[in-house]
Amino acid sequence: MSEARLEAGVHHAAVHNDSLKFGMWLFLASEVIIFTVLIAAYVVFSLDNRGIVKQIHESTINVLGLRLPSVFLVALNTFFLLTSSWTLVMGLREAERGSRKGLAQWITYTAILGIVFLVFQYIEYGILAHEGVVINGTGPLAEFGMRFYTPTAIHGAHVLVGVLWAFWVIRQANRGAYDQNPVGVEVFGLYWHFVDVVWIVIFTVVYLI
Amino acid sequence: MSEETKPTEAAEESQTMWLRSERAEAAAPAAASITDAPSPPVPAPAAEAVWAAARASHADAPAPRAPRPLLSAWIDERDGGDSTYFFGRIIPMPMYTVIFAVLAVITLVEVIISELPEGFLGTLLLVALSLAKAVLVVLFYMHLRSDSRFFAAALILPLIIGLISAMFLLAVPTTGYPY
Amino acid sequence: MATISVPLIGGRAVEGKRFGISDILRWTVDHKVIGIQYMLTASFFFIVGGALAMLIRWELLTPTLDIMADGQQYNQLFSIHGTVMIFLWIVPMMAGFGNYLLPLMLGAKDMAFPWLNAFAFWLIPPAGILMLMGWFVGQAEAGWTSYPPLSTLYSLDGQTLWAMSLHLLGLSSILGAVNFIVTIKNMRPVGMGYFQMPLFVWAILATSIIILMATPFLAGALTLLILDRVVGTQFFNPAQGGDVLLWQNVFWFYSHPAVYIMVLPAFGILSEVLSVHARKPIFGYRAIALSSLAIALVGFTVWAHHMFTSLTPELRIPFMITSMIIAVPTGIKVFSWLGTLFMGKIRFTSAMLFGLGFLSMFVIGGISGVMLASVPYNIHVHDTYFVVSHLHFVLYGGSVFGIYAGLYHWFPKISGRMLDERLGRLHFIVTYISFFFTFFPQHILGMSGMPRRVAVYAPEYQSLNVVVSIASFILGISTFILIWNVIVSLRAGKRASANPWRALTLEWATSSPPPVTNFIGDPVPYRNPYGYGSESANAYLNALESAYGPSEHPSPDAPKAIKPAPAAGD
Repeated sequence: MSEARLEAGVHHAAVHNDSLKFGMWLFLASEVIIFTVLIAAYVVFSLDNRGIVKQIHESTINVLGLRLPSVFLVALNTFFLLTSSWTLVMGLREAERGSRKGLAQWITYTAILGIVFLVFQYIEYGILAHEGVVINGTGPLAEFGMRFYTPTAIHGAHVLVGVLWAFWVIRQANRGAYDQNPVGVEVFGLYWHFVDVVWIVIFTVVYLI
Repeated sequence: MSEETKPTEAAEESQTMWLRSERAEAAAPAAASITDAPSPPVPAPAAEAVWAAARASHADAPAPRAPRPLLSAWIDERDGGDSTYFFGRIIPMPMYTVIFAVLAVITLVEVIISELPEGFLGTLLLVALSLAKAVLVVLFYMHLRSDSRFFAAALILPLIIGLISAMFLLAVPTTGYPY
Repeated sequence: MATISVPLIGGRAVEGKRFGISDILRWTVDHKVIGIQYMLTASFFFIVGGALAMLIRWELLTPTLDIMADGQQYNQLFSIHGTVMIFLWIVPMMAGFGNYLLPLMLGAKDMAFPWLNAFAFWLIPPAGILMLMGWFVGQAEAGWTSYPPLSTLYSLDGQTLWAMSLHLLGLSSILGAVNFIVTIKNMRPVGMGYFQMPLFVWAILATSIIILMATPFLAGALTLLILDRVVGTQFFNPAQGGDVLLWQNVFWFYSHPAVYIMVLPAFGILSEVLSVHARKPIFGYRAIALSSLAIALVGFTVWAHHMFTSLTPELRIPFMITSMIIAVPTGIKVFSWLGTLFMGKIRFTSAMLFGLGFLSMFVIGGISGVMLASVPYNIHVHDTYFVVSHLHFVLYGGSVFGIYAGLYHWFPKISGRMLDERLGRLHFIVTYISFFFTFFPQHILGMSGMPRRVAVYAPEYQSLNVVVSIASFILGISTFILIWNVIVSLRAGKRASANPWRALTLEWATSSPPPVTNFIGDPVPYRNPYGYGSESANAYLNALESAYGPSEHPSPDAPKAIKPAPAAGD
């Protein structure tokens, strides 16, 4: 009898994990729609105003005395975000192998990379604002600005939430909350990777095309 | 104080103990003696008679099917996750790392394409490559390839609805009447 | 201790202790208490919105301004009436029914995420307060649709509060919908496949899918609106490169599916009520279940029929076609309900009466909806009282009658007391007749050209407006019959047994009100939730009665059930 109950308990845990992950997926489903609206508001503009978009894409930035295309900074940022996703799944791998220390270490990398992403986004906003791309005002640069800043800033807010969540996961990992069942890391991972996927789309649609 | 905690306990138990399984039916006599329901108005055997009457009304539920992983013909984990089978090769790295390498290479290619002169082909390539990246992250990092198909539905349905609405916004003249 | 030892309403939040106001105001994760909290909050806002409606009708008694200082005050009235009724009454009320009934119907102890459930509820009171706070800073006055530039350039700070309030309510419904879908997927008991679920659960599933896919559109649009109003962006200002149609499109991406968010749960309630009180298996179970999903999906393709006069003309015909297509799944449901009633042994309880009232009034609303979907007619009656009439037939004659039917049906389960049937019938008759005379003449007003959202109208419309206003005052008063009935029944109503209606769904297989853990033992559902009339169903119901006491309505089942239940294993 006790063995049957134990097995039933394992099954229950599996269903519980499935519930948590499915709940996160459904929440992300609604996030898909929100980002669709915000990105569509940008694309409607960019298709009709190729000149302004080109002008901003072809501007250059000054990095340590080198004139580089403006896409350099954001490409670096994309790379950071992709790397943070990788460190996260490596952390999950450690968690599944039962290593508290490894998990906390890899998630720390994720959090740091998220912070670096936000810092670079802040620098990038500064450069653009200096060039006259503002969120409120008049003129074509402001029209571009409001449609550019809204999706990217809301994405940045999601990254910020993810970083805070990462710190929570590190704290829980050190307390041993994921020793038996690392689903908490996996649910956080779903959120973080989704934010990464949104950035993949924004990077292509807003910065490259 | 105890009034406040009671529903919480019930809820927590519902998360851990009260989930459906075929084995739960086997363990029903043990689970039937719920201790945290003080002074039940109806004795448990009487309630159990109701469930017995209901049980008489249907046959066993069919067993759930295990999902098959997507893309496992080309990419899969080997040696307990220490190496990866990747399009006919065995690479001595975890699958996550292999996928990361692919993502990084695609990003580099994308940046190079965007610096080339603008054209229809380039735009198409950029869209295709970013789509490939998104699919890789979703399948491998978000584990969609081995998880429930319901998760995939939760992703695909809003994507379809979102794309329809976005296409509509792009197609309609911004001021309504074009004249 | 008071004389009443049975807890008043809700689950036995605390066994043996009277369920009081303090339990409602407390943070709790018990889905039953949360359901009650939803219902009471929604009912409060129903009264608020109803009072606003009474003021509107009072103003419209004469063609000139009477009680309003200017048209702006009148605009604020109908804007907040619409928003409160939709977002703070019908949607939370349906969420309340879902919260209370879903785990019970699925034989679960609670929702999948109890804490999230409580959090979703507690977003509603602050949102409601935020919306009503608008009166102190210049209330929103752009209608519940809040088209720019009315809502951006020509409105006061209340509009910002309105948008923030809606943002909170949208988040609340999204979190609630996530919870519902996960609960339905993972918390079903052994022996309940998707096609053994009660139809109310199917309705909640379809509603939750719509909420999940549609509400974020509103969230996106509201984000842009708040940015326009607070940060100074110009998303909706054509003079600065914005686009007024962006709001209309995105808003109706949400708000047309939202119509089905409001009415699909009522469909589910109706399916339960009709089958139970006609003592017959539901006709076309799969058709009703799947047409809910069809409505959910087709509902996403019809939004632009709200914009026939503002959109580019080439798009009118496609949206006319999709709008008419959505009448097909609705028609499937209506005919299935009629098939359920056919040859049934109908008990004219108050719940059944409101169910029949729903069926008749909703059909009128549905038909006027098809009329509105046809472009030439729509352009004629666009923004007239015809539209007002249509939407009230659907939302009052549909959703609110459904809520009433559900209240009469499930009140015994929720409170442990029967509602007074005579008062219930009185409530039905007064509501039904006054409802008809409130809203039916508005069809004629609209066709003869009276625009909606005006306080001052041409004198030739006055006679019909007086009829409408008087009927609406009676309609307003009729609501108090229900409130009186609830209060009297709670204090001195007849004790309800576990299964007063002899129903087969799982929520009746436990005491009324249910204990904290909902069920004793592991609940096993009866295989066919609508298998009335079969021998195994009678055996099951008799077992239930011998365990929990005799039922209040021991009427026999329909003798010739058209399709007897598949009685497996007996």
